[in-house]
This record gives sequence, structure tokens and C-alpha cells, in this order.
Amino acid sequence: MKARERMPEASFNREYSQTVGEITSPNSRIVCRNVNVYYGDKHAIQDVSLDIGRNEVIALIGPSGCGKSTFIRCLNRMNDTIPGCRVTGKILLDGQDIYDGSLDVVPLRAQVGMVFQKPNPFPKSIFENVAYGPRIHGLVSSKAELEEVVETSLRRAGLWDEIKDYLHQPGTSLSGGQQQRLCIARAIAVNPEVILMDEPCSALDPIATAKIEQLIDELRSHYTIAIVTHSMQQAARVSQRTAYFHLGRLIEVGETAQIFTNPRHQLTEDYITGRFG
Amino acid sequence: MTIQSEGHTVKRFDGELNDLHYRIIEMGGLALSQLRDALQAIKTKDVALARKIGQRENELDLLEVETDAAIVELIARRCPLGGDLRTIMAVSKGVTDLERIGDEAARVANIALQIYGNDTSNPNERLLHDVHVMGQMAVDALEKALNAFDRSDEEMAREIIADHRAFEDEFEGSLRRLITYIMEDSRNIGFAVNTVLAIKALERVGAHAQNLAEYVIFQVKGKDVRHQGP
Repeated sequence: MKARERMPEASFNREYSQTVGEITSPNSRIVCRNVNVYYGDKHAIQDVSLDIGRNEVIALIGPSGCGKSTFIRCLNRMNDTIPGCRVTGKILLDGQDIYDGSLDVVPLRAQVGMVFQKPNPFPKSIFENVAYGPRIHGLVSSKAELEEVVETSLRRAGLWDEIKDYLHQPGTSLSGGQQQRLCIARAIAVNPEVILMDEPCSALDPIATAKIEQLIDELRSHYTIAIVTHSMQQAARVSQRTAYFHLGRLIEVGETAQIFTNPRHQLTEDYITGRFG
Repeated sequence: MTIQSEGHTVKRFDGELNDLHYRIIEMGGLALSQLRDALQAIKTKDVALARKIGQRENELDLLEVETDAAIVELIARRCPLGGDLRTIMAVSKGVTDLERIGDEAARVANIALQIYGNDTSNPNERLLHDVHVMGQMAVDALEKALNAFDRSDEEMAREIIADHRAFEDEFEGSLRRLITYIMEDSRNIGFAVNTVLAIKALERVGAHAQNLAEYVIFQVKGKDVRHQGP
């Protein structure tokens, strides 16, 4: 008898159309309702509703092409830069509709920072990488204040002790893990409320990954964090809630421990146990 | 993509889970045959059979150690989640119960040796009646628990848990009867003490069978139903 045949499956939810689990959060910072994203004719995100709470790390998981990156890119309107992309539905950040026509996306992207899969420091010094944001957003009024913001941001990103004597070296001279933490420091420097991370550790070794994960845990006390990851173990380690996406739909969301030990939707179970054919 | 459960993408993982399943079924079969033989030894006064049980006890211990090692390796290699994780946890806990059932069977066999091994006089058959009754109940409960484990049958597991009350009642009734026999005739004390030890061992087998049933429910439903009372 095969192992899978022994597991009764009748109790699993098999509906696609409605998300399984609690989409709301008692302390919501981001509220998404009926979000749809189209790339031309392609319906990439279908009717997704989800809250993200303050000081919460939410992990977005799912197979490649399921829409998890597209979804987090909606949260700071990064999709606006893609030709033919259309977003419908409501996304509120602290009650403010971020797709309101009168809203300026530049301060929004400072409020909702983003860290990408591949570290992308500017071709400038370590100091300038962090100082650039506060300077262009007018967040500092003196050189001393700027230096303080740079130091604080690098400290919060857990990088200060490693690079404090090399602040004027190029950011690109750092190791991959250090570059990624520099990018996090750069995002922190503009005083964001939310940090979006799109597979931030996929190019890093286990030690650099552990440092980023430790950092995520520390940053949670200041920020709301949404992380896209293909690593189930990483999602389980860093997040309090996990959302599972499949073919553009949010299939299931719940407490991370519940999702990884006792998922309620058949698709979630199949994905986390590695059963997709 | 259809919503259709298939085997793991990594086929070897299916094989490893199946291997784990066969290990626990093999352990269960061995524990059951040890228990049956121990009861048979008491019933038929078969001292040689009782001795064999003690010799075979090591086989269960070895299977427990090997299964635990396989589980540790599986967790390290596959990082199981969801239903796989629950299955592995259920097996991990189940092997401990089965090894202890083996210990209880050996205890019953030792009692058979004490009763029949040194003394030529036969015990009062009335005293052994409760051992036969509780022995059959223990065998039935273990057999059913192993079936529930093999089939991941939640309904059967719930029946075992529901039936366990009757097992406990029988145990308490047996104790009362044995006390009465002792009070009637103090010459029964030696045999009665052995009988109490035997039925206590059989009561433990029933409790381990109930544990196995609880693991089945955890495996299938993800619900921990331990320590919830009747």
C-alpha cells in the first residue's frame, strides 16, 4: 500500500473560489479587498482579499507563476511600471487607498520599501547607498543628521559593525549577504512602515540567510513585513502568518504553525508536502 | 492543474514513508504475537513458550532503535510538513508504545514462569480467569489499533478510545475479585499477587493501544485528543 493511499482526503477543502482561513488581522496595517491584476489579457491575480497586521511577518508561498510576487508588487505600486498592467480592487495602507489617483507614488514607495531577490546596491559607496533615500526624500536637514540616519539604518540592518570602517568603499564590494543587508538598510533609511521582500535569500548561502532571517525577526518590532519565499522552512522560521497562492488565487491563509502542520486546503497540503505533479 | 493528490514529486520520499509504515506494522505484528504467546503460555502452562518471549524481546527493542534512526534521517533529509510530518510524528510515538507493549508481554511471560516454572502445584483457576478475560481484551484492542494505524482509519481509532472505558472497568472489577479471593483464603496471596501484576500489565497494553488510536486521529485530522477523558 502506498503512503499516499493511506491518507484519507475527504476532509480537505477543495474549493478554489473562496480563500480558506482568516483573511483579516486584528491589527491591520494593509487591507486588500478583491484585488485583481491583469497583464494585458492575462488575469494574474484573481480576487485576492488579505489583511497584513502591524509588526507581523507574513510569508507568501506558492509555485512559480502563482502570483505571489505580483501581489506584493501591488502593495507599493511597483506594477505601475509594467506596461499593460492593470490593478482593480482596494488596497488600503493605514486606511489610505494607495491606488487613489491623487496619491504620489514616490512617498508611497518610501513608506512601503522593497528588497529584491538579487541584491541591487547602487554603484556608489556604502554610505551613499543608505544616504540616497533620506536625502532625496528630504528627511534630513544636516550632514550630522544624515550620518546618524545612515548609522542607525546600518545598525538595524545588522551591518554596522562589519562595515563601519569601510563606509566609503563601493557597496558592490560587499559579499552577497552584506549587499542584501545593505539593501535592507537602504529601505529602512527612509523610515518605512512596511518592508516587502521578494525572495531575499534565494541567492545567499545558509549563513547569510540566517543573518537575514535573524534581521527579519528583529525588524518585526518596528515594521510590517511581507516576504515571498520558495523555502517552506524559511517561511516556517520567519513568519507568523502564511498565505498560499495558486494560479493567481489566494487559496489559504492562516497561522504559520497551522499551515505547515495541518493545512485545511488540499492544494496547500499538496504543495507543502511536495506532491504537485 | 487538477486538485488531485499524487505521490511526492521526489519518489524516494514515498518509498521512505512506505518503509516507515512497514516498520511500524512489523513492530506491531511482533508485539501482538509476543502478547498472544505470553497469554498462551499462561493458558497452557507452557514454560518453554514463556522463555522464548523473553528471548524475542530484543527484536522489538532493535526495531524501535532502527525505526527511530530512520525517522531522524527522514526529518533531516526531507524536512516533512503537513500530513507527512503528522504521519512521521505518529510513527515516532507509536514505536515507543509498541516497544512497551513488548515489555508488558515479557512481564506476563515472566509471571507464567513464576507460576509454573518453580512450583509444581497448580494455581486456583478462578484466579487466572481475569487474566484470560483481560488478555483477550488486550489482544482485541491491540489488533484493532494496528488495523486503524495501517489504514489510517479515524473512525476505528475513535471506537478504540470509546471502548477503553470497558477495559478500565474490567481491570477494576478484576482487582476487586482478587482481593475477595485473598480475603477468602490467605494461601492465595502468592498467586493473587502474580495475577495482579499480570492484569496490570494487560491494562497497560490496553492503554498503549489507546495511545496508538490517538496517534491515528492526530495523523488523519491533525487533532491532539490525548488526555481528554471519556
